[in-house]
Order: sequence, then C-alpha cells, then structure tokens
Amino acid sequence: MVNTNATTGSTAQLDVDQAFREHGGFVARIVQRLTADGPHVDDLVQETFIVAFKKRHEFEGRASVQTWLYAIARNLCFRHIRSHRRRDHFRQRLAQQEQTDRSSALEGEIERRESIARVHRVLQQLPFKQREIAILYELEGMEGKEISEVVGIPLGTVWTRLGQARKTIEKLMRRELTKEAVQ
Amino acid sequence: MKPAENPPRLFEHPEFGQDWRAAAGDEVASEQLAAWGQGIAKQVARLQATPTAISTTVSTSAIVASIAKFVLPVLAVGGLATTYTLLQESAEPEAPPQEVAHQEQVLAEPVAIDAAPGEPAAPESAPKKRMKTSFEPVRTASMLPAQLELFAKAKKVADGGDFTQALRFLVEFEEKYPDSPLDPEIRLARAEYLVRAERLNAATEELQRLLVDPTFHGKKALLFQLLGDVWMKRGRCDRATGAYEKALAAGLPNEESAAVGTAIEKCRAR
Repeated sequence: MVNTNATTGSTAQLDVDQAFREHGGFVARIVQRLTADGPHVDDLVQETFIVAFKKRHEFEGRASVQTWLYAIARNLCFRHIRSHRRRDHFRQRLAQQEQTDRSSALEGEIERRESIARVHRVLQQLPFKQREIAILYELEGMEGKEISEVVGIPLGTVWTRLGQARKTIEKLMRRELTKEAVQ
Repeated sequence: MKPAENPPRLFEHPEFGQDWRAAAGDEVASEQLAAWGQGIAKQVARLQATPTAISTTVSTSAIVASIAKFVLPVLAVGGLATTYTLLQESAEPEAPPQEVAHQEQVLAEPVAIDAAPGEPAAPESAPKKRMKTSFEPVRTASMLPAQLELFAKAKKVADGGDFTQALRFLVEFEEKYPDSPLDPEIRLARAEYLVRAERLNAATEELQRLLVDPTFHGKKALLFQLLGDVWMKRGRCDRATGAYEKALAAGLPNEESAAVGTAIEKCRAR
C-alpha cells in the first residue's frame, strides 16, 4: 500500500501530479469518510494536493508519499470539522444526499447506498481519533503497523483506539439496525 | 485490545459485515477524480506562474485603506445593529449544540495544518474562557482592525492569484470572528475565490445560498455573473448565458457588463 513512486530524483521532492494519480483515490476516500460526503470534499481533496505542492521542498522522502498526504489531509479534515461543528452542515447534506439517492437509484443500489450511509452515520459519531483508526483499518484495509506509521502513534495505541471504536461501532450499528427493523 | 496480529475486520462480522463490505468497496467516481486532478493541475500551474505573494504582514496603508473601504459601508448599512454586534464581541462565546459537544471536546487537540508526518503540531493558542468582571472595560470596535487585517491578507494573496491560500485565510476569519460585521463581505469574497480556485461544486452551492439570502439582494448582478463564470468553466454555455443575462438585467457596472456581453456573444457564436 505504501508507495514512493511519486518522488523524483535524489532530492526526493514530491511530484504532485504523479502523487495525485497514485493516491488521489485514497485521499478522496479518507476525506469523505472522515468528514462525510458533501461539496466540502471537493475543497479538501484539492487543497490537500495544493498544500503538498507548496510544501514539496520539505518532503524529504523519509516517510512515504501516502503518509505525507495522509497527514495533510487529516489535518485539513480536522480543521474542517472544527470550523463546521456549530453549523452542522454535514447532517443536512447527508440527509439531502440520501434523499436524492433514494429517489434516483435502483433497488439494489438503494440498499447498497443505505448500507454505506449507515456506516458513515456511525463513523461520524465516533471521536475523531477513533474514527480515523476505524477508517484506516476497517475500510482502507491497512495493517496495524502501517496505521501506526501513517498516524504517527505507537502500535499499542492503534489497538486501544480500535478496540474503543469497535465497542461504540457495535453498539451504534445494532441501534441502527433495530431502528430500521422497527420502521 | 492489544492483539499480536491484526484482529478480524468488521466486514467479516456476522450481523453487519455486509454494511462494512459495501462501505469499504465504495470508490470515488473516476470522473470526479479526473475533475479534481484537472483543478489541481490548473492551480499548481497558476502557483508556478505567480511568484509567492504570501506575506505575513500587511502594510499600514493597506489596513487604513481597508478600514475606509469596509467600515464605512458596514456602519452605513449595519447602523445600530453593527454597533450592537461589535459590543457583543466581548461576550462569552455561545455554547455549542448539545449533539456535537462531545466531538468538540475530542477535537480540542492542537493540529498544525501543514505539519509533516510525525512532526508535533504547534500548540494552538486556544482562547481561554474567563469570567468577565464588572471592572473590565467593555471592548467595542477593538477587534475590527484585526478582522480587517486578516481580510486584507486574504485579498492580497487572492490578488496574487493564490485563491487557495486566500480561502484558507477566510476560513481562519470565520473561525476567529463568527459574528463579524464583515460577514457579508467575507461570504462574497469566499464565493468569488471558490470560482477562481475552480472549486466549482462548492462555488455553485455557495452562490445559490447567497442568491436566496436577502442580505445580498443588492449584489445579485455580481452573483449571477459569478454563476455564469461557473457554468462557463463547466463548458455549459447555455446555462452560462442565462446567468449572464440575469446579471445584466440586475444591473452590472459598465466595465463588467462589457466583459459579460462578450462572453454571451461567444456562447451564441458556438
């Protein structure tokens, strides 16, 4: 999963164009999952690579490109959540999105979208630190050691946060499914 | 939980594994990714063409000019309401909504926006709540120069073509001064910078919000013009023409209406 192809020459400066080709999908998924879907994803994905471009001279190649980009995207997402917490745009947008999806998609697709929306709803209720670990482990399929490197925390902390996240996730998922069964 | 090996993933869970499989397999549409790639390439090209114009200080003359430009209309339009708002700045910040309170608590760790991986984030000077006593002087317009300075920074980098940085300054502004009397100016600038930064989805949404907001009733010409620019960038001449015509009908200034007229002509010629 870790890729350093987006570095060039001995200076190991970041080639943003190549970095986007290789890691654009990863960054976009991370942004969507950390902050939920909405027009802000547009901003955050692009801004991640613009920041990477501006800071490319500081990229020393010690960490992988993916790790570097993750750190930037994570911080931008964190900042976005903090600045929007009062307005609570996410819930409105997600609700609108779901409505649009319901009316336009086929039945199987609706079910799939509902599954995804359920997971996203649950993820959004986790504290940020647990949420990012859950996303990287459960949805991005990263190994514990990789997560420890990307997030910059000890492996033990990864497992602790994942354990806490899972407890909450199980509780919330059951609540979601019960709610649905009752409706 | 401290397993020696990676524990089983949630997509193997007997009850709700299906949901997690669906979420894990959810990919970003390739068209969307391509559009973002183009947007990034354009911005990078612009940044490469323009020497970095980011300055951490703003000259006194710029501040004075900004004060003259923004305070006078604000006072004229806002009147007593503005004065009241300024007086309110010394009040305690309002409590966040209950449902997000716990998240706010968790998010209270300092984070550096451009921190390299593994680098500790610089400690943030979070505003500390303190009890207000009757002996403290009431702050009135003391925050305004700082607001104007930050806004001027945003405008300066935007003038240099770095709209991403300008937008970042505006985000910082909204975070620091959520009840600022400059809010209408900030929102207009945000809409414009989003268009210039090619963030077309976000720009469209912001413009639509402003168009239905009575505060911006007098700015409809500018808003429709920006909306027209968005449609042009999307290659939708038909919709761009409609928006530009509305801009003209709403009374664009002469110099702008000439440019809009040319754009309409181009569209009709296609």
